[in-house]
Amino acid sequence: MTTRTSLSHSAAVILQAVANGYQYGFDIMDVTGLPSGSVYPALRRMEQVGLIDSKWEREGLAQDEGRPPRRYYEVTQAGTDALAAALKRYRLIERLLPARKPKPLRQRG
Amino acid sequence: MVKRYLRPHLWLIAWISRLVPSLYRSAWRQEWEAELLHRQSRLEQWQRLNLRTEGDLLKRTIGAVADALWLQPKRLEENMFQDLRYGARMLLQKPGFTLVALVALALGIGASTAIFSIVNGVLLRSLPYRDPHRIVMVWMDNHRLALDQDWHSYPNYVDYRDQNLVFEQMAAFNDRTFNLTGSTDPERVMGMWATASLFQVLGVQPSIGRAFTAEEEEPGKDLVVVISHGLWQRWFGSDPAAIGQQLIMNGTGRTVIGVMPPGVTFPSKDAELWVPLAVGPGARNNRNGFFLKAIGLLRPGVSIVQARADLGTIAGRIEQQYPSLSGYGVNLVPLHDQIVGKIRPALLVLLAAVGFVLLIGCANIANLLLARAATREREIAIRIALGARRGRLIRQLLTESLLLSLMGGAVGIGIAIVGLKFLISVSPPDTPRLDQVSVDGRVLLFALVVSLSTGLLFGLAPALHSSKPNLNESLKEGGRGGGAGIRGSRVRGLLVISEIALSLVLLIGAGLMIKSFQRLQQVNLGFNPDRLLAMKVRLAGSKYREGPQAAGFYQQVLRGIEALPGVQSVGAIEGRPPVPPAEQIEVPVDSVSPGYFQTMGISLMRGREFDGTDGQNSPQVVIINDTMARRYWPGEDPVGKRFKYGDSDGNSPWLTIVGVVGDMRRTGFELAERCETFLPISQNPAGSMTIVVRGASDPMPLAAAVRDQVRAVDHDQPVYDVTSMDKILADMTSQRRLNMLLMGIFAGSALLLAAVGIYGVVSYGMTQRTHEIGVRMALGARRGQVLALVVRQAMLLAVVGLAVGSIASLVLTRLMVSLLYGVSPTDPFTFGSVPLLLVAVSFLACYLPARRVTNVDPMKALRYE
Repeated sequence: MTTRTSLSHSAAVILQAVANGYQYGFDIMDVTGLPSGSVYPALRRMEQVGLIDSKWEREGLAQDEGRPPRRYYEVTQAGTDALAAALKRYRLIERLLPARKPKPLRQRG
Repeated sequence: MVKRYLRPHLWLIAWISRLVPSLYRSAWRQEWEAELLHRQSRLEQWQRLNLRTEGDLLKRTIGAVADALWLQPKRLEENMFQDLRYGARMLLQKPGFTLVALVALALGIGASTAIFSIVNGVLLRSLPYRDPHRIVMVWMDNHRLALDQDWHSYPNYVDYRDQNLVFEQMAAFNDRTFNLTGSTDPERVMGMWATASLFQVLGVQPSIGRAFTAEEEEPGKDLVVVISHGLWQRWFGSDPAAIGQQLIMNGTGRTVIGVMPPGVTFPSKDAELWVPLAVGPGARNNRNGFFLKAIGLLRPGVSIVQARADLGTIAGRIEQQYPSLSGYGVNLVPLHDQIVGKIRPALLVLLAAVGFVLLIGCANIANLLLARAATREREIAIRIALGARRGRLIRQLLTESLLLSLMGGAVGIGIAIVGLKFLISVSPPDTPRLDQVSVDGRVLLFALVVSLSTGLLFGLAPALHSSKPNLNESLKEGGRGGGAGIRGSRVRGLLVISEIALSLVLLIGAGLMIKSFQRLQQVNLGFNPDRLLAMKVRLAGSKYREGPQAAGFYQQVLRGIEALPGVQSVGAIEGRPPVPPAEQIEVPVDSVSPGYFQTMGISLMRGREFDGTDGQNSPQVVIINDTMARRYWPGEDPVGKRFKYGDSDGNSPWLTIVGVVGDMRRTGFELAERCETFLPISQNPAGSMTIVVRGASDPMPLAAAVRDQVRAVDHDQPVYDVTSMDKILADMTSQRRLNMLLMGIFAGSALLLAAVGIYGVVSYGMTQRTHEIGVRMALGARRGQVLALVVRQAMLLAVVGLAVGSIASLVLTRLMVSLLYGVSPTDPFTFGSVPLLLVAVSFLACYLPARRVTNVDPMKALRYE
């Protein structure tokens, strides 16, 4: 993908959040402080150009909680490259966002 | 369990999800609901579900509107894809229809695009100067000769230049040809004398070296030359050291001081040299020496109307001051009009004509689509019954026709490129700005717009029509779509009427042009062009400064040519513009050699031709043409009468008329006969002559030998423009021939398309009415009666179309007046005969399908579904 050109600041922040393990829309809002009206369109745009991928949580997990499965996002290779490029421009982002450990990969079990 | 969490935000999400394009809706809604429910259950788990956190959830939910809005463009994509897929499928289902429509569209769009490319290059593209729209040609309006584009004398030009208030700059120039001699074979090059201000008017500067200055406009200081990029490459091999070198032009050495950038040409693309206009003291004060063209750069904001008024005032002043100059006004023509003005009407008429053909093609495709729509009525009715909205159906049907027209356009561009090459190759070489013609962005845009609009045009009526079927009728078992059929036939009838009207306009236009061309071919030239070879020689250099030397040169050359085997006779005539003025009479005078009239085959009506006895020292003699004889010596024998040029007490010699020759039109078919006088070359030597040779058979093979004869007399004099007279005559009419040919092709296609249209409508109507016809015949109607009924209905359409077309033609042919010759734009013969042709064609086109159906056995027809 050649879309590394110009990530906006908020897109870079969101991408960094996903990379740091905040993979659900609401978690991203929590950690970035951005409103849903910015976060979701940004996620859709980045997914469209291939910086992130989305997957659905396992059915079983959702059923336990009596709700539909959640959608989570992952950074692709192109996304990683784009993020690295963006971090050179927005140096503070890396320090703004805490890394979340361990990554919530349990869904993929 | 979910019920327990039912909260306002979930309601909201459900509502907002309606905004989301259907393809994405369920996933979108699930994502949002899952997040909201998950967050809610966590908050509950942590016992943090309070007013603040609930408010936060609500806020996030409202943000989903932005998310849903962001997805809107996908809605279009989604529908468009669906429509495109569906449309492509429908087109593939009927490959015959698709192919026919595609070919018609590609040809129509291709032809329109090709013609538009020429219009674009010749008329629309701006001239390659800095402010092309402000450049104006300033002509003398010679009322005496009825020439509205005549030349100025130097003092008149100076008056205009110094007294006008409207021009930023004014320049004078005159085209000349130069003999370049020196290194290799002598070469003739077009060029011009010009004032230094010409470069400022045009806004061009040499890319190497400099332009000449006003100081160099004096005899003696003027031995400099600016050359074109092409000449620089050809003559100097693109060597920058050309600056400062000498160029031998017409026997005089001039220093090259500048090279123009590529593409800069003025006035025509052939001009390759610019030399300072150095006016000698004689011409400087001679108000009767007309040898200059003038051009001006309007000041910003000054209109051509203002400029006309201002220069008109100056012309009035000159007339008052010098009463002998009365009748000489001034005429301003924008440079662009000057260059393309003559060809503009022809191009616009052709563009309109090809547009008409395209329209007729559209009408035909619309007809086909309408017919097909009837067969799809059931399908569409079902879709509407199942809840499809009308707008959606129209969009889908339009997508189908746009798909068709865009494909047609893509093929059409290919056709345009090929067609354009062909058009350029058959265009007369003197067509202005032909080198500017190419398929550029504007042409592609034109093709796109034409494709889209034709798609809309032929698709809209059928789409509107078929998206509103009568549900009750269409869904009934075996419904024949009777209600829609009547509406449909009305639309189809309208289409046929417009097809016939449009083709009538085109056919009448073509008819008028063909008749003009015939008239032109019948013009009596006054000479016999068979087996005639013509070529030009222009003497240059100091050797021929004295007249007798020039006369001697030509005598020697002509004698040599006459002795060549295969040459029947030879003669020469001066090739220079009319020489003004004599008190009242404006009569051109040309020098001719003995044998010229005989060689040309011009009849000698009285007296004799020039011969060897008309020497330098014998009495001055003149030959006049028939028009002049009839005008000035009506009913008398002019031979032996005398007249002189200039004032009767002037110092020009008395001339004795020794012969009268028939009128000839050597300057063009379309000019009226005029008075002409001819002097013997021995008494009036000229430097520039056209030699004509009549061969015993095809004269072209003689060209080389004739050229050698000229070389043998003087190696430095080039022979140029060697052609047969047949070719010269063909070239004179080539623009007309091409216009007529194209117009004929367009009109022929229109006729064919209209015939196909009528045939299609009638034969479709027949299949629709097979049942009805069966009933009529079963009830006792005779075949002839049914046939008459059907034909009458179709011919009614034709007659209405002809009426509309005749009225349109009366209005539109007025616009082609300048393309006609000897024919009135409302020529009764054309207006009477062409509609008859269309009636005959329409009759055939409806009779044939009608007869087929009435031949059918009534029993079969009754059972026909």
